[in-house]
Amino acid sequence: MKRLGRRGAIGALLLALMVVPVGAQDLASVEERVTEHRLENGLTFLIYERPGAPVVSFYTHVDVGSAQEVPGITGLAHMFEHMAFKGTTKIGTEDYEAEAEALARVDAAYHAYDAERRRPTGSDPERLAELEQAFKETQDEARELVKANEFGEIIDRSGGVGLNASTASDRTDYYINFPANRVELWAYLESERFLDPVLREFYTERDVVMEERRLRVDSQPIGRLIEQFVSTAYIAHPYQSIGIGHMSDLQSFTREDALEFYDAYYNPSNMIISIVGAIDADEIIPTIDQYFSRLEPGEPTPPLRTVEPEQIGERIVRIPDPAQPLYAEGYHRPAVTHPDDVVYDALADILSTGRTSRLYRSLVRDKKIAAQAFAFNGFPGNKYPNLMIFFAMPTPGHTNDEIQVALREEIDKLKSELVSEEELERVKTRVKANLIRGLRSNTGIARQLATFQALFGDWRELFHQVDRIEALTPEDLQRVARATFKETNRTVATLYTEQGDEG
Amino acid sequence: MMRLCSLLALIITLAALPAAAQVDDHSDIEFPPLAEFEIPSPAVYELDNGLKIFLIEDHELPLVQITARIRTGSLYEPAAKTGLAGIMGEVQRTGGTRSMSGDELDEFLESRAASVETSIGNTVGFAMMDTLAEDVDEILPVFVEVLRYPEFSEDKLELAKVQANSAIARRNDDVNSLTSREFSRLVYGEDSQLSRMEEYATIDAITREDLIAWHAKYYHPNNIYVGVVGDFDSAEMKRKLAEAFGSWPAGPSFGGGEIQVPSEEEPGVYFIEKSDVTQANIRIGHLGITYHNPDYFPVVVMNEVLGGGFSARLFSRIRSEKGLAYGVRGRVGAGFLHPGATTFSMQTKSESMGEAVDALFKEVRGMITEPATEKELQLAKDSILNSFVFNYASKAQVLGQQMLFSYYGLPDDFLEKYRSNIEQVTGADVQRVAETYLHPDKAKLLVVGKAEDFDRPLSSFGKVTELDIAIPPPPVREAAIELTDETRAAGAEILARMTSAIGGETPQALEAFRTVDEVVVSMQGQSMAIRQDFVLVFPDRIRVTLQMPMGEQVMVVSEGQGFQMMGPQSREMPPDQVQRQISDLGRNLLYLARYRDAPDLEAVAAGSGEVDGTACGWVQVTLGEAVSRLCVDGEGMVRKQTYQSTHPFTGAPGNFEVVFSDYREVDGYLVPHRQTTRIDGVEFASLTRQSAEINPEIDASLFERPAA
Repeated sequence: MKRLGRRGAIGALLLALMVVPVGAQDLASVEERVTEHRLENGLTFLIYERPGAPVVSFYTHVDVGSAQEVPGITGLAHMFEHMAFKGTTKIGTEDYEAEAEALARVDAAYHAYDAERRRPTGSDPERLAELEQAFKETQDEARELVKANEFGEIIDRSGGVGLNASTASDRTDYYINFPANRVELWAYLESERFLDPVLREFYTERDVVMEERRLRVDSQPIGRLIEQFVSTAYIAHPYQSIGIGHMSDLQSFTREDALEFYDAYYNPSNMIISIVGAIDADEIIPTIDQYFSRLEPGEPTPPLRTVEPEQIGERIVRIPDPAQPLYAEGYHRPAVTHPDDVVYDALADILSTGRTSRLYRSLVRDKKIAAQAFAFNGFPGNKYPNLMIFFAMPTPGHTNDEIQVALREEIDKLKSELVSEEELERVKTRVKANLIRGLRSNTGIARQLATFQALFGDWRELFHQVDRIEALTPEDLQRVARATFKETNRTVATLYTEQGDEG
Repeated sequence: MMRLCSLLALIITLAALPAAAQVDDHSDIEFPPLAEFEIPSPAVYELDNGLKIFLIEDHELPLVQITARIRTGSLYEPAAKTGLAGIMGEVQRTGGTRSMSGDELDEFLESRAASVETSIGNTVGFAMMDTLAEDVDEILPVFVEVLRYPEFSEDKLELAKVQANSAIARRNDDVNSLTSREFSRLVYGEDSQLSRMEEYATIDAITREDLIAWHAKYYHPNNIYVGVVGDFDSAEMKRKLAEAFGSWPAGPSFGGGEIQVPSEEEPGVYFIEKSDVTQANIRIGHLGITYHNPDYFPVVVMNEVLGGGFSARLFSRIRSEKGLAYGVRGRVGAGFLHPGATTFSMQTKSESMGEAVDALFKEVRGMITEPATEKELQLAKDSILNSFVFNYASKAQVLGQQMLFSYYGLPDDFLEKYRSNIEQVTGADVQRVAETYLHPDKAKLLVVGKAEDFDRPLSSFGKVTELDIAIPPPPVREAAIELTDETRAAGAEILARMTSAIGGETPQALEAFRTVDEVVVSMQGQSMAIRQDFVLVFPDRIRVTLQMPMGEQVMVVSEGQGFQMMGPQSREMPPDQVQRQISDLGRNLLYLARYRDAPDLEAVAAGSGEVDGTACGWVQVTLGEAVSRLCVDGEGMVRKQTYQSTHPFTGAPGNFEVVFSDYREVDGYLVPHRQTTRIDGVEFASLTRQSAEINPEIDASLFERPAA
């Protein structure tokens, strides 16, 4: 149990008195409030003491995401995230021993059914129906032993709010807020869910996840566009698959697949937990040590082997759709840890933050060809080289072609002319203010601390980044724009309107 | 080895803290009492001019935020200008003030990383300010100017209209918001302000004068609540606010207008077809209650039992147990100034639509027939009471809530009494409110989705009414027509000039004509070449042959009937389509020339125009059901024609604009050889005529449907 960090108040004072960049000044005052605490098993806690209302945000970041999936199990990182709400051997069961046996019968029945369903020579419909019926019956038997949603029920009853989780390309996050006197309950539940999860009701929850895919991707014009866009932009790297997974994989992966995934990645070396609110670190550390030391150590997620090869030609995908047109264009760029990361942030900011931004002024305000136009980084993830993307919605009577022309004008200008000092100054001012505004909410702070700790191994990078932006020059932006915005580095995805029945 | 390490860690932990023992079951965990906590309480006072101020210091971060609530709302706008309030709320900020243009404001604020924003919702207007504390003396005056002296510049009004029109064009793209919107309109009924929608025409009707008048009507200090939170000294801030707002004279107070809601509710089953979705989007419900209802608290508890958290009935039974949906929710809705909408919603794959509707109805009914158990009741109340402290999570939140309650006339101690009100709710109360406020037998059901994939027809739930959500086309920007003797006479004159130029000396000698055209159709930047062979035998026999990349398509109308052919397949044309083909002939230039003496032909002059530098006179021509406007030049040639019709590919209604050129003489008649067509301002087709024949030999078999 090493105590790291927690610089003394005097150290902080000294730091503040020295002539130091703004980021460091803010860092000094924040550092006083942060306790960094690492368990022997590798789990890192970041505890931020914030006086005020007796409430606390808890945020568990796990270093695993859809980028850890391979063909056949796409969507599994997200699927496990759903399963992490289903309880443990103690929570959510009437009788775990009997339930474990029932679950084994479900697995066996599913395999028999799935083998017939996907038999290469075609399945026998009668046999398939029988096996499906048998599979359903074993599920019903197993459900008899389930205390439905007990995990969520305990949290609801104890005043927990905002229970949720999210899965992205590089990360899976679990979050909840509790009144400040519920720390021990949280520590118990959160350690228990990752120590001893039981993947009960797996196949029903898989149906729920399929509904989520239909909701977010298949039935949404933007969802359809994004899926085609990323799968076109990447030919090798797992970023090519959006996290929700392919429908055929969702229909096929198994409870054992999910357990295997859990075994490989859900260990304390891969977890960072931030706790923000009206708590005293010294008071809660013994409690969290007690519960989280129970987790078995494991291996950190290995870096991905596959590196996206350099793009050698423009890639274009055009989607006929009944919806109004949408435009997306992306360029490959390096990972978030690259020194130029802040240059991309500054470029995106100048292009599309606020009403003084270039895309707003040109496409929205003056040409009136776009209802919205913006640029952003870190798509679909940011731990690995990713995309800077541009997205626009044409106004009625205007086309994706017009958007493309106007957008390229602005992109070319970044290459041919230096940005003005005034614009760059606005970026710097805004980034500093945003850092302060980011400290307004417990959940926001918790997420930021965990994110920077995970990506850089040090949450202080959140503040150092501001200093790096402060040091940027117009030449930096031009250099990166010239290196990035090239035809051969580009992917364009458009959705164009086509409706009605064919003749 | 690893095990040893963590065991060691455990021993150290236990040794260090013998008092805290790790529990094996969650129910063994004891909670210390929640720390004593002084609930922040804003200072509330009023300026002489009636402006109400709520003030609370928060020195954690060097920031200051102001939120103003203004007594106004889009529900009070005239129906013909639906969208006025929303646009006013937008342009109030973007359109600048008396001392700074909108663009200058953008630069001034953004260079200080500050923001001032305004908006108007259904029953409230907002103005917000967010700044670093060090800039407050610069930003506060800007905030006051935006509130008090907005300029509403024309260019930003125009921009706001483009944005509003874009939202109209896209409003049916997102199936979930489309379903929610249409369901709300069903619940509130067509007479309610809550059911109004912005249309191209209502946006078009909004003027700068409307915005100025709206501001003048509602924006008086006695209609405004201002809340300030952040890093300041209260005494100093009070002085600044008095200085900033004190000189603003009071005006007429606005107490709110009447909001129509139906007094009687009828059940019904409604459907909207959407071909690009794989789910059925389902809503069930009816009118709800207001916050002022004495049963509000039992309703809150019932809502928690039914649709609260992970353990509530809807989530547990429909999602976790049946796997029918990702999102399923439902509650008795509450509103401040009008009843909320009680809505049960979910999305499920098309193939389980029927099963899902059954399941959802079962839970609505079940809330009445299957009373909340003691456990459910306790869980719901614990959940509400134990999380109650989150209502005070930040000072900004406390301030916002107090302003909200004050604005909508809820008691000042609404929140203080909330806990005891919830504690007092009994199982009998929940049962009573379930019976009183849930009306499954009067509920409306709306399903949006792809009917052909449903597990059973929607009609199995009752007689289905299909809703039309087609977006009405923008109004045509044309000079208004005055129907006077003069305009009729002038119209007849323009028409005569045209028919004698195009129709030659003997239009009645026209028996038939045939044209062959190359047409390039463009859609979203892609183009397609079509060869079009058009045959017309007066008065009403038509054959159109289209040669397209995907094959040949033929359409024939003859003797009041019609058919279509694609390859060897032919199928009958529906009677309404036949009728439309015939009536559309009334827009054909040669047809108009041929029947210039028809008794039902009406021509009215509609002002003068110009096409590609050539002056022309507009005439609106009506023949049968066909209406179009022609711009006819001095030589009688039609330069441009405008009319409303439906898009040939999308079927969407639109404004058509056809420009004619390259007139050539064919057997004494004038025939244009180039035509370009735009729909709603977007180029759609460009036509080059290859040949035109007057009174050619026409083989009668062209109009016969081949035997199957």
